[in-house]
Amino acid sequence: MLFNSLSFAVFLPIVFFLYWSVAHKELKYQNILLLLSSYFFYACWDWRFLFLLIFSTLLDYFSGIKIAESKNNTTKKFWFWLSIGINLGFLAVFKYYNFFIDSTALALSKLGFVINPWTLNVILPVGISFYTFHGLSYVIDIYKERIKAEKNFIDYSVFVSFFPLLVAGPIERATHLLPQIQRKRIFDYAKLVNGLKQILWGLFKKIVIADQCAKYANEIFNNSGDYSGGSLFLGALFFTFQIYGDFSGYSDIALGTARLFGIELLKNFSFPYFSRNIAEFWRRWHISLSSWFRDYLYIPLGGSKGGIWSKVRNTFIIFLVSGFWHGANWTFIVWGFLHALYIMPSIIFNTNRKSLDTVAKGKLIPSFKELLEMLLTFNLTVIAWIFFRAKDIESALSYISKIFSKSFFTISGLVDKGGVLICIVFIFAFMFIEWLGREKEFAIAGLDTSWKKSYRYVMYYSLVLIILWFSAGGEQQFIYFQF
Amino acid sequence: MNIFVRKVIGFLLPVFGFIVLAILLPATPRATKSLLFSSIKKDSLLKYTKSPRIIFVGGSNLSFGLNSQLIKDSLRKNPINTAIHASLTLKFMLDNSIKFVKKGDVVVLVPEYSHFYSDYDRGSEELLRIIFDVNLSKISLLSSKQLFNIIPYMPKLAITKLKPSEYLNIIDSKVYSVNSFNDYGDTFSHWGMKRENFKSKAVKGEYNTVVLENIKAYALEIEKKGAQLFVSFPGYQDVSFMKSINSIHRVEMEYRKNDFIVLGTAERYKIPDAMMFNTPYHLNKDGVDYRTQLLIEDLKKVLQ
Repeated sequence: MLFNSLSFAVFLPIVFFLYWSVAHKELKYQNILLLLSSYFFYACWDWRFLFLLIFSTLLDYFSGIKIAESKNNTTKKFWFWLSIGINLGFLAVFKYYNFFIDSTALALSKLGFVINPWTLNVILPVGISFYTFHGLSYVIDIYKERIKAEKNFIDYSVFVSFFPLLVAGPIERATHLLPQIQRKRIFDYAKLVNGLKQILWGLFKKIVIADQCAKYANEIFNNSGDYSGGSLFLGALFFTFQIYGDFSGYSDIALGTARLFGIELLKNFSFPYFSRNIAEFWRRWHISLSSWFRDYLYIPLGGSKGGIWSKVRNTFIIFLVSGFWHGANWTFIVWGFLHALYIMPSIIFNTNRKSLDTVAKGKLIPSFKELLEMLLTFNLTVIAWIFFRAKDIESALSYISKIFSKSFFTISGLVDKGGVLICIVFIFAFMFIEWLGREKEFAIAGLDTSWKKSYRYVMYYSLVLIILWFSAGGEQQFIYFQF
Repeated sequence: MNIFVRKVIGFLLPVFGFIVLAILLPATPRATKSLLFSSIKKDSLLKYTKSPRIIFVGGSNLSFGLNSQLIKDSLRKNPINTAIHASLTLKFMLDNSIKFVKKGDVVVLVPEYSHFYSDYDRGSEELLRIIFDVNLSKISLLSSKQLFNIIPYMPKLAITKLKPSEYLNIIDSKVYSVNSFNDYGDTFSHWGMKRENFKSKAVKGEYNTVVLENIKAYALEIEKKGAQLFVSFPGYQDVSFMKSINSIHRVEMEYRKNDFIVLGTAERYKIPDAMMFNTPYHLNKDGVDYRTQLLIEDLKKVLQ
């Protein structure tokens, strides 16, 4: 069940109504309802994987209790590593097994040993990377004695399976989400309206920006040989906005939906394409994953302590792991590696905590320096996205080499020029609205205070009609569901 | 909560109201020129054409791929080309054509390969339009799933009906128009036109077993009516064919496994690129005549 589907448009109001009008008397009933609806939501993808989700939940729930109750270190370690091992084992089997086997076979064949590898023909369970990371952070936090083990199975299950975040995050922390699940939620009109606005903006990002960009990005990337350098660059730009619209749109819908149930999820995006350097970009892009890697990998590895060499090593490790987290393909690893390279100057010169505030705060127009910094950072991310999107490294390299050829100055091969033009107009309009709203939680969050009611309603109705118009192309999957 | 719900409904009501009202407006002048309106004439052909009849059922590959006059001259049967657009969905094509089939009819069913690799009863803009623009009574042919699946296309249709360009300066499409069909239902307006630039396309998606089950049910209905059913393959651009070879072979294998009377082979209907018009399924005049000739040869073998 996709967020941008008719089924979800039916599902959400039903759960909302039951939650606030039938189950609202007891917190327990609300949580049971959330859990059942989350399992139903997940089963709509593939009911068979529901068992995997429940097993993973049970494993972390019991491991958490056992770790907390352990009197000695050996038992504590046993339960900790059991949980970590099984969680990572699932990821390894479903997501990485074929990659490792194929890569090993390829490496051996280069050494003259030809083997016929035994690969698995399995579907990747949707959301496995996300709920596994929920479970991992929970178990690690108990082991490190940062939190207490949750005894209420329903509450813990809702923390893992809450449907707005189940399939593509944000990756929540027990310290943030569990207390909200255990606290009585109050029907807060203003928050709910805010949630609806965020859903509306998320749908616009997904259906109007991401899905339209996807049409052209897919065409250009899949037939890159037919296009000039200029057209390929345009294709890379389309993908850059597609992935932003797609994932941040998903996150907006997730956050907005959770708010309808009185729950605040972690912010996942904060206008990343207005970043002035790569370090800032990573403070604004997929924030819940970046902070997860910071807290559970970078800091345990020593973080920024231990001198330059250790900082450089740890930075490369988290970016490579982050790339690999996205998928079992060398292209993702190179994408992570490129970002590690990009961020290196600021790590070495210790300038990575620069630009912590919003660009051109309180102003409409940025300074020339800020504009140049944003353009440079944006273009660096565009180049890296080519690796993220390409089917293999060879294709990415040939794509990039063609961009940096003489044909960069020609746009040729585009069939639907009118459609491309309309898409570009929408991207400009979208980025303009994002720019205006960049100091808010999401771009249209500030309309209440800054716009007249009539203008606001014109804006909302326009958004609804544009979304409905473009939704006629059918439901398109979210990119991050495959991770 | 009541205030919240009331306000949300109050916000959405004008949107839904507008969509419903606009949908119920008659088809715009531009829409009435669209090829979907050819269904009125095609239904009338199905109703009134005299026996002996040969009825072709399929997507635009058939409408852009047959010269029915050649068929009539060779087989001495009255051809009816019911094909309009593949997006009308195979389910709709089967359900719409079956009610017109009479005793002694020969029905040649030519699904496009993509029909086997998508939802059998999916919705589409064309399906919505053929109901709400052309013939509302055909809504009875839609399954509940199809009805559900066409809903997302409604807002676009509603908004389209308010566009000035739907009422002013309407220029008839040279190819995709209600006037592009000849008396048998073949698209013939492009026969004198040059090949257009288009990209080859591979058949994608997972094989859908439901499709064949429904064709089997259709075959039973035809048999009950005392008619004959043959299945055949679309004329498909050679480059696209090679890109989709596994998917195509699966379709062919399933036909043969289920004992359908199959006309020719998929390979035989692989059409050289020079004979294509503007998509991997649309043939130019040379392609139309070539493909029709192949079909005539294959039909002669089974009709003897």
